[in-house]
Amino acid sequence: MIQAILIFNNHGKPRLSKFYQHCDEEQQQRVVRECFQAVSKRPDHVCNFLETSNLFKSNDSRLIYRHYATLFFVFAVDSSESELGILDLIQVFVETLDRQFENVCELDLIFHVDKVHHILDEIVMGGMVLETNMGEVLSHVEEQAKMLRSESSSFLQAMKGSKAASKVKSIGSRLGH
Amino acid sequence: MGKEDMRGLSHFIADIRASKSKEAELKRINKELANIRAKFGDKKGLTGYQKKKYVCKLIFMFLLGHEVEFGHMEAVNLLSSLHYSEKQMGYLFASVMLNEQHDLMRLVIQAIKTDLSSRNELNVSLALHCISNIGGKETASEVATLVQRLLVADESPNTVKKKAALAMLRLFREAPEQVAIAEYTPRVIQLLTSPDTGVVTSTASLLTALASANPDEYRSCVAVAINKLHRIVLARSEQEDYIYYSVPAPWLTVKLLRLLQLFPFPGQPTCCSRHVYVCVCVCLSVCLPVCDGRPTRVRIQYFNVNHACMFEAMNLIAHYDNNADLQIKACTLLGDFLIHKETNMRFLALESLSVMATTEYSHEAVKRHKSSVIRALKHESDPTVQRRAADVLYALCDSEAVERVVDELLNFLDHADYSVREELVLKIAILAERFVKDYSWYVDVMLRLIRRAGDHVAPEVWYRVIQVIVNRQDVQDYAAKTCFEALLDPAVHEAMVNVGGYVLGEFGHLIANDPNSSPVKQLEVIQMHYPMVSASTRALLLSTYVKLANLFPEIKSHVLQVLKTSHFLKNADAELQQRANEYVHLLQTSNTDVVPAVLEEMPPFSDAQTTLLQRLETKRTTVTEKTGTLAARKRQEGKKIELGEVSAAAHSAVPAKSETTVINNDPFFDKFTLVNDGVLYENPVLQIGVKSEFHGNLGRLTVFYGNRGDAPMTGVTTRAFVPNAPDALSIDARPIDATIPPGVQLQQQINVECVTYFSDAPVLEVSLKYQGRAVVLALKLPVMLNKFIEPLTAPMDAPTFFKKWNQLGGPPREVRQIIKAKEPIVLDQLHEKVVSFGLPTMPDIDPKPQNLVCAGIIHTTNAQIGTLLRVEPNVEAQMIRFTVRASVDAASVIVSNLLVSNF
Repeated sequence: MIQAILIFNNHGKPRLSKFYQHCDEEQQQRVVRECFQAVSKRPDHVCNFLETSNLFKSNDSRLIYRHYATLFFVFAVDSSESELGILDLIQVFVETLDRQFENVCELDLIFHVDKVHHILDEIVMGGMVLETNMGEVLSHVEEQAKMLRSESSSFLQAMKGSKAASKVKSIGSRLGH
Repeated sequence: MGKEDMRGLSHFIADIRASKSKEAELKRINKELANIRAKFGDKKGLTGYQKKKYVCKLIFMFLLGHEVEFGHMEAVNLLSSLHYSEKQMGYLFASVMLNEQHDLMRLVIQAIKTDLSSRNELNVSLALHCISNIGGKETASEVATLVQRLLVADESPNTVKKKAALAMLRLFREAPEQVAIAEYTPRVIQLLTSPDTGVVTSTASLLTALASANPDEYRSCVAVAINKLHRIVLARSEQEDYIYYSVPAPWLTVKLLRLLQLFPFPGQPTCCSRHVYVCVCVCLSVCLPVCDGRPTRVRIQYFNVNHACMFEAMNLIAHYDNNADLQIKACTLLGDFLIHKETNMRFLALESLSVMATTEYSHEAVKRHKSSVIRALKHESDPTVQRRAADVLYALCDSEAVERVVDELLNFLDHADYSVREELVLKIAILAERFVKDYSWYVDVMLRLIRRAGDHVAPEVWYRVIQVIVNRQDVQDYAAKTCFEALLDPAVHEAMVNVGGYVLGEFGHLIANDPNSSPVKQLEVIQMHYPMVSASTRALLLSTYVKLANLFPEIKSHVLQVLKTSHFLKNADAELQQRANEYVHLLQTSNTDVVPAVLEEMPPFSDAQTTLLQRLETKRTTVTEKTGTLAARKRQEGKKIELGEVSAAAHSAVPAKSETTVINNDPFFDKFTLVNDGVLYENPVLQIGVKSEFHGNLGRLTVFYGNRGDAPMTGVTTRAFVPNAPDALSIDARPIDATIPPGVQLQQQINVECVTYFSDAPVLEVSLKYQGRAVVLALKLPVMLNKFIEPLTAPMDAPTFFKKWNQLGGPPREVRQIIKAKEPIVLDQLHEKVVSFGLPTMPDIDPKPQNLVCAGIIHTTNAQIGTLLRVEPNVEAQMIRFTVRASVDAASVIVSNLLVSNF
């Protein structure tokens, strides 16, 4: 299974971290640091797989990563995952982000952490591959967005409604006195 | 959320990013935390929108590594909001920040339960996501049935089904006992036939986890999976959308190939086995023309996905290991990949080769790539790839190639990454030992290993070197010589000092005639290293001093002088002080026999099994059972076989008797000829003890099984039998519980009846599983012929004895053996030992008072066998002569052999 998914930039600043097995805060930061140290020094032509020990308790992790411009996408997986499969999954994830944000860049990830999480959730769930079909992923994300849009328009109406109601209430209380 | 939403959040993030220093950032964060805390504390209450905004800020701070101590309650409140946007944010917070142990988990579980039953598909999805992210035992007990229903219900939409499958998987991993999936098994397997690829992928993941815990129950999914696989790779009838860079559903293909590796080869029905081979063939034939004329990036992606399937298909055939053609074809393909221009491919090719090397049919084919692999080891610039190459070399090594391979690995060791050196050292040590032809080569390799990578040499490695040297007479002088030369270097590693000190102490005399390594020089060399080493090594060197003093009288006074210094006699280290004092007294003692006896050469080590493999195994206990992959499991299986091989390897002067790979209890067994109770077998997690009593031809044994580990032992079964003569004993072993919980001791009664005489002790075969590993112990039970000997009812006088003695006559009823005593003869002790053997001695019969004569009857159901024994010790020569006469020839032989092996 996938143990963790991390995105950080060339300076090691985390842009997304998602852990699929419980780690406390300190451990999470340690994992981010160690992963950054492990991958940032590697030149571009070497292989995209890396073995680490003691990253998690289970003592069996591989890092599979891709480097895009300013960002590292790192997946920590156990031995039950196919390396090339995960490498492709990173590609799917990035291509999906690219479609969603129209030429994704680091800033998009920073200002829309929540959205990135929602997209990732449609691709990987509980450490397992959920969906690899980009069209399917995007349609789920779009469905959620539609829901949010319809809410925000009805939300304004609700606000108006409640203001009117409170006016009525205040009038009523005044009458009572 | 549009871009206009949550302007405060954007400002906040922009501020943080603009911070010039860590301090400035912290200041801004603290300001915001105070602000949010104040807002949350405000009694007036916040709108859902505000809460959402603040929670989002908290998540951002958490990502940057700042501690977030509050806001959890507010976030959890969002879960029950009627607005999807708020609910979504609440779940995001819960997934990122909460865990099963958190106080608020109760509330989260309640929210999950409500949303699982929601009619809104999006809410159900949120709840399922939350379960698969943070669900634990408590969650499982509350929601497992709901999730199960969602998974198998016909009316669930596909999006819900595939998420329910993965949520189920999480619950099964966290709390398998809460998930009563068994009754749904056929319906879960049925999901594999769903036309929706997403559902099938998730189901395959779930089934992989379920089946690896319980393969028998899910056997029926093999045919379904093969069918699906066949349709994907061959009929290409998958949903159009799942074609990724012109490969249909590659992830699903990989998943299904992995699932199949949990099961043995499907021999029946034949269409299954045919289909599997066809699928594998398709995966192995990566077709090039399809992608000609496309951009490079697309081509690379295309190859990537294709190769993912290909490597997985190779794992599958390596797992089946029953089709030589395919396996050899795979190895040939891998050979091409070894020179591929992409590093990833070379890495994966090496990995597959190391799996292929563990199989029966392709082992030879892998060897053909030896030179390519060695080239990779030498010239790859990526340490990850080099490490894989070292693995392959380890796997393909044989007695022909061993010298080259070990040499390359030793060279690699010098510039290998520090994290892999210890493993590499172990591997070199194991290879050198396993395939040794010339022991002086072995000694050279090991000393080179210790000298070059001393820091990474585990104690087991140099212990083993010493054991091998002690057990091999032919190499001892060479070892002494090379060790001596190695020690001449003042900066040599401490592990080398240990080995050198021990070897010189034992075998220094073999090189003492050479003036360059005279006893005095040997002593000097050791003294030179003494100040630089740790206390435990010093203790070993002290023993070397005293051993040298024993062998060479000319340096005795010098050693005494050294030992008598106050540095030793008053050393703060208790062990050193004790040794020094004892040795001083020993050397000064007047009794000339004692010193040589105490300081005699060490006997050969009886344990033929090497601890190195165990060490290697603990070094990479990589695989948790549940997620264990085939490749890894394969590796472990390979190791199990190796363990057997090595234990049977002929290092020790005595050839190893065991042919099987099961564990026996020989080291524990010898004492039982003379005693009835004791430890039958022991290791760190398991102790088996026995108590026994014998009357006439009947015996009763109580066997105690103690689990000292921290996991239960399961599937415990026992079987008792007599090797070579199944009818000689009738054994009735009562059944015992199949499970031994940790810290518990179970008892088993075994009744034995001696039908006729027998030579081999009966064997109790105990099979059990501990932490997923099956172990078979073949324990010899302490039942020998002498246990059924009872003394005569009436005492015998000398004339009667000699009458009987003469009646029985000489050979074949008489067996006479003369042995050299293993320990110095003390008459009283000898007497006691003979009595505890089962034959009471009778005084005043033999004219020589130190001789012992005994008489007894061996009780068997078929006959009573009269047995007479005469023991004649010769104290001066340290020899004993045993003469046994029994009324059955074979019994004389057996009794005599039993006697001889115990004195």
